[in-house]
Amino acid sequence: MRLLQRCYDYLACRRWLAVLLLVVLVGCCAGVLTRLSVNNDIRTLLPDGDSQVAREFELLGQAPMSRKLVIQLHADEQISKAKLIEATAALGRRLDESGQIKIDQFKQQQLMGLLGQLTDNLPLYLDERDWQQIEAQLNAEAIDRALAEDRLLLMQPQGMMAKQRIRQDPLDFQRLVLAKLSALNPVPVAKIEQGQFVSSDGRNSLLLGETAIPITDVDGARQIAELFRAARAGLPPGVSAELLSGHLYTLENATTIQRDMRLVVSVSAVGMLLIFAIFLRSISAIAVYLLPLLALLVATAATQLVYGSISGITFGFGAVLLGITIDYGLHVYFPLLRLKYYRGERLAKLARPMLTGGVTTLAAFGVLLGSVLPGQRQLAFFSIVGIVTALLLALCLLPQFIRHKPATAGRRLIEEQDPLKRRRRNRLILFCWLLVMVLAASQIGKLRISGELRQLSYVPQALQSAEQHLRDNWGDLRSSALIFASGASWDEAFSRNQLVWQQLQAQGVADQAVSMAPLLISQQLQQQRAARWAGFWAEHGEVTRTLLAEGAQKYGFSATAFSPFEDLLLSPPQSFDWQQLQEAGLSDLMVNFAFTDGQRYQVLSLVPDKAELVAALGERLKQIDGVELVSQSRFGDQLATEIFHDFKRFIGLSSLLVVLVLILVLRSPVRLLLCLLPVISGILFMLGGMAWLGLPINIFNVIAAILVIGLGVDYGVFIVGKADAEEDRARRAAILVSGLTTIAGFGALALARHPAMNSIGVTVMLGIVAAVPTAVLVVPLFTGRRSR
Amino acid sequence: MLRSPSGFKNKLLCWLTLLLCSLVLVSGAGAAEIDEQLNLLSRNAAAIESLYSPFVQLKHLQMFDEQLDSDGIFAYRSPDFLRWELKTPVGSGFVMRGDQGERWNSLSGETEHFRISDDPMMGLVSRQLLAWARFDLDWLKERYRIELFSEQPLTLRLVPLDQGEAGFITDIEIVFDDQRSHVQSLQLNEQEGDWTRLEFTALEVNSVLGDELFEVPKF
Repeated sequence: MRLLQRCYDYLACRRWLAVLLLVVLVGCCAGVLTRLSVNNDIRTLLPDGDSQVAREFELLGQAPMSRKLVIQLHADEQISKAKLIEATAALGRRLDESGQIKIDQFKQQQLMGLLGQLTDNLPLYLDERDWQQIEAQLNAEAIDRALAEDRLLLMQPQGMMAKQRIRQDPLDFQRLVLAKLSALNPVPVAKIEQGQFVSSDGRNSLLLGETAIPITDVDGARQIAELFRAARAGLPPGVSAELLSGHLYTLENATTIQRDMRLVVSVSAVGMLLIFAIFLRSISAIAVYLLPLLALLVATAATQLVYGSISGITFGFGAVLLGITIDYGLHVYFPLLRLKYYRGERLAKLARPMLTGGVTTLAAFGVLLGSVLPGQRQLAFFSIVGIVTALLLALCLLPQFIRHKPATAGRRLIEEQDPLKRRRRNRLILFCWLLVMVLAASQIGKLRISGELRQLSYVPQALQSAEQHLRDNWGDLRSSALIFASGASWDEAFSRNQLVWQQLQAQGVADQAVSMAPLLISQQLQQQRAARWAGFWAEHGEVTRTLLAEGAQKYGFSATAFSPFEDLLLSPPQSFDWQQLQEAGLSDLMVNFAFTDGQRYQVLSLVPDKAELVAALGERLKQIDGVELVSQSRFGDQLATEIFHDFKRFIGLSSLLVVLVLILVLRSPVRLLLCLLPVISGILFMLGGMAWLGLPINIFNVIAAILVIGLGVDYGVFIVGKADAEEDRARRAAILVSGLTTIAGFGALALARHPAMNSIGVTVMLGIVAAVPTAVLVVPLFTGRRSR
Repeated sequence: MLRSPSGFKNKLLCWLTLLLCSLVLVSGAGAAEIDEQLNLLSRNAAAIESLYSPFVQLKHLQMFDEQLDSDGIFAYRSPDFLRWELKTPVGSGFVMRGDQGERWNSLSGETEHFRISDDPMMGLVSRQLLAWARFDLDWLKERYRIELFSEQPLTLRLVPLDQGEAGFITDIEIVFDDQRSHVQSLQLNEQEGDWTRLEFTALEVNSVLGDELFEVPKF
């Protein structure tokens, strides 16, 4: 501490040196910041490494619907379905013409290609269930009936087009494979009419599109929104359209954050000015205000140097976080303001509680360095650098810029009162404090934990209602559970996907699933099915031919009418490969469900994201190598579990470290308890308040809680530290003004519409609102300092 | 060096030119005549609100040893109501109301609802039948090359332009009644020599056709 005193005395005679040091510091930081690189990847808020959550987030990003532009159209009652389909196609064309959006086309050509593929390779598409049905059909009665129906069909106008099919497949085995087509519809509840997805009531239609513009590109998102608005303007009266896409969420969030920041900065600035006008009113106080800015500058430069880039979230949140470093300035400012002489000695005396407070705050933030979230680790580093910088500047350089001023705001705040009044007031304070703490504690049981990342985003009413319309009309398209079947080759991926399909059939959910399994068959399975075809007809071929000939004679068919069918029974089926499927024109249909990075091949299936189904399927699919089930709802639960685990770990570890530091410094259980009272009150009130307001614990609240711990302990250390009456008044004034500046900074965030910002603001404000009065009013009741 | 054409060649060239010109004139006259006939048919058809006619269907298919004969009824009501029903040998058929309808089959006793958009085959059939009933000239011209086969009775020959349809049908011969107001008979010639002939008998034009006619019969 003597070192600080000597440092003060040395610089007091050489103030130019203090200015020079500041200029050099700012210059170095500015030099580093010329290479500043900010990234906005949300993955910094998700566990990294080999964690299951990180892996599942990566896989969720491959959900076809999450990357799609989904445009839903609605027709009023007076609009016919034909008109709606026409309007849908026209809107699709207008969007296509923009060149930025490509609307998926379910062309007749694709359908014909698909039908051709299925019928040309009929033997290879028959599974065990189909064979059971075929076997049941091979009797005189069933064959007689089939031929009677064929004859009848051939007499109908449509018979002309069915002729070839009847010659090749008189028993209509084709119906068995055509039934599998429903599994390929990416919107299971929709019907495809004239190439458009239409709801069964004919009132709604759907367009699916893609764009090369990344979802995180704000300017691109604005362009998409404008293109859609312009295209929508061409819709006929009575038809409306809504767009749902990740781009709109990005745009809305960016716009809301910008609007919020303007509001928050304005309100904070007004708050700070009011604090300045009421409590500080000195030119020296400007130096106190500049302290957080310098801390921010150094922290940003250091983070850029160490990490190579800085996360936008770290920078945004860290900037607000370092606002608290103004406290160090205030703790120096108030005591020195009143002193003309012996300032070095006072500074040395101040250093002990300040360093204790600083070390406890650093310990609290240091714990975050062990976080599984890269964003939190970077934030911890950023905060530690900022806090250390602020602490050093506050103790070494700031005192040189604080001019002596005899009267202080703190003095006016705490007037001496007569003992009776003071006792009554003390009892009232204690009673109110206890009441509030009991009420807060009673609410904590209701506190929720949320892993829903979407809840941290701002979703305006229009988007919420569009999401609701989508759910009502088309089901949970954008939140299906995803099943990935991977392999080192297409063939291996197809094989595993077949096993997935078998499980879906076993669970009775195949009809609700979207799967390419009926279409994509591995070479091995094709060989098995070809062998099954040959074996089956070797056994049943003769009988079938005899029964068919008898039936044919009865209904007047010629002897050669079914020769193509007889040839088919005898000829071995030819296998097909991935290339042939592409050539059959199915590549557009498969692009969202079969993909590769050149090393790993994946086939995707979608199932409804229902908790019970996901749990049951998850267990069964675990037994298949290379298959993963990813559910958005389960992902949220897993993330919530990790957040809760982190929350407990960080709060526990931070508290332990803080207590250890305080034990070492204070060496008195009573003073330790008193010192912790503000932080305990702050955390209790924060958690109780969150529960009462219905705010869940999320990723940001964890950091907010640590901030409250750091600040609360600082208040405790200062208020419990030994001091004479004059010093005590100065310290309480410093704590009060510190609390107010924190509330002005963080409290303003509570006005934000963006849920993440609002959540941080409300949480910190709740903690500080309880910690400051506890430090200023309640702790002194037990230290006996008031009666002195 | 180029030589001048000889006298014989000159004469041949002149005759060829004359022949070509006369062919152009004859074909131009033919085209004009067809257009005139088509416009007349189209005008007459515009006055048709409903059609009702029993018919006889003769089908020659190589898949069968014998010709398949049947009879039934055809009904049309403006704008897009249809009934196509075979009475013998087995009751079956379909009704259309706009873009959807039902088909039935007394063999199985089953009735099936369908939509044109989901059933391209029924879509094509119903579109064809409506085009004949309304004599939808624009649609027919778009889908077929129309030739005048004979004037009395007026017979048109339609050759499909669409590749898909041409895969099934080589041509369609349509015979109109003397007043040229409606189709009297129609023959579809298919690939591989198969054909279907429909003869409409006792045709009623613009009689009142109730909704029940466009409903599925009770079995």
